[in-house]
Amino acid sequence: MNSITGAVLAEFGSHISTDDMTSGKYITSHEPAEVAKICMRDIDPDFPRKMAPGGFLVAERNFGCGSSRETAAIAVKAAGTRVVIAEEFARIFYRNCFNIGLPCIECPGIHSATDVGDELEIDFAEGVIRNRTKGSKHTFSPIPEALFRQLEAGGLVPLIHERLAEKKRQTNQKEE
Amino acid sequence: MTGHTATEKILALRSGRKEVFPGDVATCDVDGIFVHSPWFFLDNWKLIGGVNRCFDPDKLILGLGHHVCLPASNQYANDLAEVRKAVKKFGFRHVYDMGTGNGHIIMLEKGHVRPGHVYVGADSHSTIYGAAGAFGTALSYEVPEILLSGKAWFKVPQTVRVTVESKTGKGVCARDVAQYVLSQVGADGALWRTIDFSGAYIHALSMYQRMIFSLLAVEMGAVTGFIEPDDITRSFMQNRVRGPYDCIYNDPDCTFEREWSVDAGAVEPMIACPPRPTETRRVAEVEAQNIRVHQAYIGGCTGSSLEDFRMAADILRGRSLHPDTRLLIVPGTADILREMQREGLISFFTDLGAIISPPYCGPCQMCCYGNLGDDEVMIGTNPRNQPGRAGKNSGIYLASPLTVAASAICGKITDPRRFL
Repeated sequence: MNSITGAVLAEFGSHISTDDMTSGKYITSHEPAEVAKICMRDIDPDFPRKMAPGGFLVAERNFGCGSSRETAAIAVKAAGTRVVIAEEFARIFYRNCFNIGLPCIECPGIHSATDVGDELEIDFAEGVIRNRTKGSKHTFSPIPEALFRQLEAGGLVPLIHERLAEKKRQTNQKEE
Repeated sequence: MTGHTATEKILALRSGRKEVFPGDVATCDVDGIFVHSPWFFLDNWKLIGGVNRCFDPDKLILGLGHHVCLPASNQYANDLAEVRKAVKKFGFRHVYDMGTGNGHIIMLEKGHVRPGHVYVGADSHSTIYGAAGAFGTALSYEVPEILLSGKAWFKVPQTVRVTVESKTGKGVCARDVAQYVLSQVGADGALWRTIDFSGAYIHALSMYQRMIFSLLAVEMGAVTGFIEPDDITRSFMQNRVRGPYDCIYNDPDCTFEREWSVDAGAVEPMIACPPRPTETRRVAEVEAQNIRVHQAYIGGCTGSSLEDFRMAADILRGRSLHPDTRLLIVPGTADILREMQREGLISFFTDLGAIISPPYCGPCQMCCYGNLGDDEVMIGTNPRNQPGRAGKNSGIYLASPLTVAASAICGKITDPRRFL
């Protein structure tokens, strides 16, 4: 996963909370497909339909603030978000995204420079977002190596499985 | 060579390094894990598969009675039964079941948090453990991994300092000062940072009132809300904590990235308006809008201590509730409930016509009961007011127990100073 291209399908301002993403009053199941249906319902009822083709979400500051609920990151991903790009993320949401294999990119200035529909090419290794629609270029600090490895594994749970399998393999080798 | 902040020192100590700097990643030994939601606990353990142990069964604190004081559905009751089976199987010793109350307060009350140690909780408000001079923060999805490894990674944060001096005036208490701080720092003013609360005002507060500041730190984006330990901390720890601890302080020459200073004497009664806790105004200003209150609520992570109920009672004594306003009393923990009984506060609130709930975290995110109708308004001492957290589009206002009590008398948002 060195680079990824796609369109910006949704944009949000600052301080979008995890209550906005998956409000407790709509949660009836923790299944990804179910929480995706209620994602952002109060602030953007059309969100699941807009994200369905799969693409990027762009937000301003403090994206994912508030409650630590895991359903928020799960819903954003399951709705079709392939990468979240924000000026700055709230801490717990940021970690939760990487834990479920959803990349977050912190890119100052991205919100005002980007519109819904823009085609982006994100180069993870180089730390560059190229906006093909506007012909502009934005740089970001590359994702830390350990988190990137976790992303490539598909998230924390698959990574743990990999580690456990590796441990088992080593033990078996020793026994042989 | 400049000194280190207390956060840097704790993270260095618990990661076995001589020193760490902001921006470093420190992988630390975790001294306690708080988990409340049964579905999360079970689902994630199943996901990992093959989990058959915890790194140290003594370090998991299970607050099953945090979100609910009684299961409202058959499904929830079944989930709880499954968790109780797992508890037996893994030998977890610290289980706080139905009726024990708010897990965050229990963590401190029951001595699970020691100064200078590292605690994580599967709940955003785990920043509260900083009130005891510990590093306490939320990690949710990663908890199952920590249960296996006993370790968690943290990006070493910068520290910002909030210094509060002097004393509050009549009708103003810790919650007002905390709300004022929220309005100054803002919803992202301490993003990924430690907030260090200091000053004579903070150090004169009881542990329960300090918890308000540390818990609300997350509403300003913070990783933790640290308060340097002092005699009040040490005497609170006595007869509670098991095991030794060292108090960790900021080096005198350490660097704070940013500082705010607050004069508590100049703070008026404050209230957080929708849509978030940092949207703080003066109660006097909001009172002028004549906002009708349907539910007045004293309880939650930031307003369910004995002191909070005493303050409310001081306002309510000799007065009656507005006929269109219900008053909901939710003691934070079973210990607090017992103290309230001893002091006659339970019969006082009962005689007043208030609704007394068993201890739990309260109607703050529709997990249990006490939710609102579509256009109803609640004023509460709880920590959060994002729209929909206690009803469909309900207006939730956050204030001190004094302001909540005054509003319950008048049936609308009211400055408590008129009753003092």
